[in-house]
Amino acid sequence: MANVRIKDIKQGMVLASPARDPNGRLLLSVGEEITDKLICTFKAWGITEVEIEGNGDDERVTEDPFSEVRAEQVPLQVREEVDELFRYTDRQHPAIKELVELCTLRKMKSH
Amino acid sequence: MHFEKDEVSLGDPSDRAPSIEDLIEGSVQLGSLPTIFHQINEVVENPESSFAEIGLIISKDTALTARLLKIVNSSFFGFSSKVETITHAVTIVGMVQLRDLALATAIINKFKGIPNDAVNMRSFWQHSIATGLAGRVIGVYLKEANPERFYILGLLHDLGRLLLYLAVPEDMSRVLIQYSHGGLLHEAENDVLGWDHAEAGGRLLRKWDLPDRLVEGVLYHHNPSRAPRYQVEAAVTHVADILAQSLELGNSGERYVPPLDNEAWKILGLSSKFLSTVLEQVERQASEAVKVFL
Repeated sequence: MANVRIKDIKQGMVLASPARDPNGRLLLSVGEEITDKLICTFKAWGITEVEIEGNGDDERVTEDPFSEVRAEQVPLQVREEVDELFRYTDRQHPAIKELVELCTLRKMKSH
Repeated sequence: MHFEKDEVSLGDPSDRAPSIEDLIEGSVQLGSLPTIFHQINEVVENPESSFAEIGLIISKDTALTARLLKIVNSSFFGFSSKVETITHAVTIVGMVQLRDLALATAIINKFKGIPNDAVNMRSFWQHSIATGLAGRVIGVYLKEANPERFYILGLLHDLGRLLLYLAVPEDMSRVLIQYSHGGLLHEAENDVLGWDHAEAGGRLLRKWDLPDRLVEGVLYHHNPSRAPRYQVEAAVTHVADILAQSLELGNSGERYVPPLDNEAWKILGLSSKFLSTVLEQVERQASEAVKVFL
């Protein structure tokens, strides 16, 4: 069983625990198979994570967003912009680390 | 709309900075919220009130009614069928939430008409809305009751800065000069004025008789672990501000992502993995939220 973010779930995965909306209302029960339509529904209901059967070793699931790009692939301009934006933060903190990675990816896409 | 700048002490050069009391008391036009908001609040606070009653009060203000219906029908809520009356809106959104949305629109409207060169109003509210959206997503995730209050907190968190730009532009210029030497903008405010926008905003909300929850959330958004009673409000707003700043959606004057208060992060107990979901949702909702709120 693995917690999987909505953006990482794929059609064909199977729910390992019931999916509930933020108010606790049951949307989908255990054993249901994920479809693209369901993914849209989850997003609309503000569900951010679901539990999926299996141990999550599917590489699509455990994928670290930053592993999509390697540090040396980051254009200098993007790196400088991100460094400047985050210059007063503690880059060792896991939350900041994640944010720096997300912002880097985001800037690379828009470049 | 204008401000009473004369009240700012100009005597001793070493004492040129306005006191925070001057700022809050001097802004006559900002002294109170529209009466309709207090009327709505009264109905909401009264356990005997019916949905029809709150509908009746809001419906008297056609501009507010139109705006609220626009918000309720936007992707901000994502209802599948069209909501055409305030009474219907109350039944599906809830009284407290609707009051909070009325508060949000009242405050934005209050500042909207102020002419200015010092601040890009649209960009300012974009940052505030993005912060509100992030706070709301975090609130929903934390299963907090009425996550709409985090949206309001995001909208209001930098209100004190708007006050600085508009009411004491000369002093704000000195702050900006200090800021250009490095550091964060709220630190420069503290260096030059002896207080910062968070304090000014919190005091203004207190003057408006808004609940302590909101006052503390704004007052402590840069140091949430110091909030005496409402640490969750302050911590959510703190993290939401950092996320909005990372996304560079709009700008309220600060160029950098503020440092994260680790105590606040621990209070919320969020996983850093969750952040990408928040950013995604904020990005998805931001442009429409700007359209319906501004």
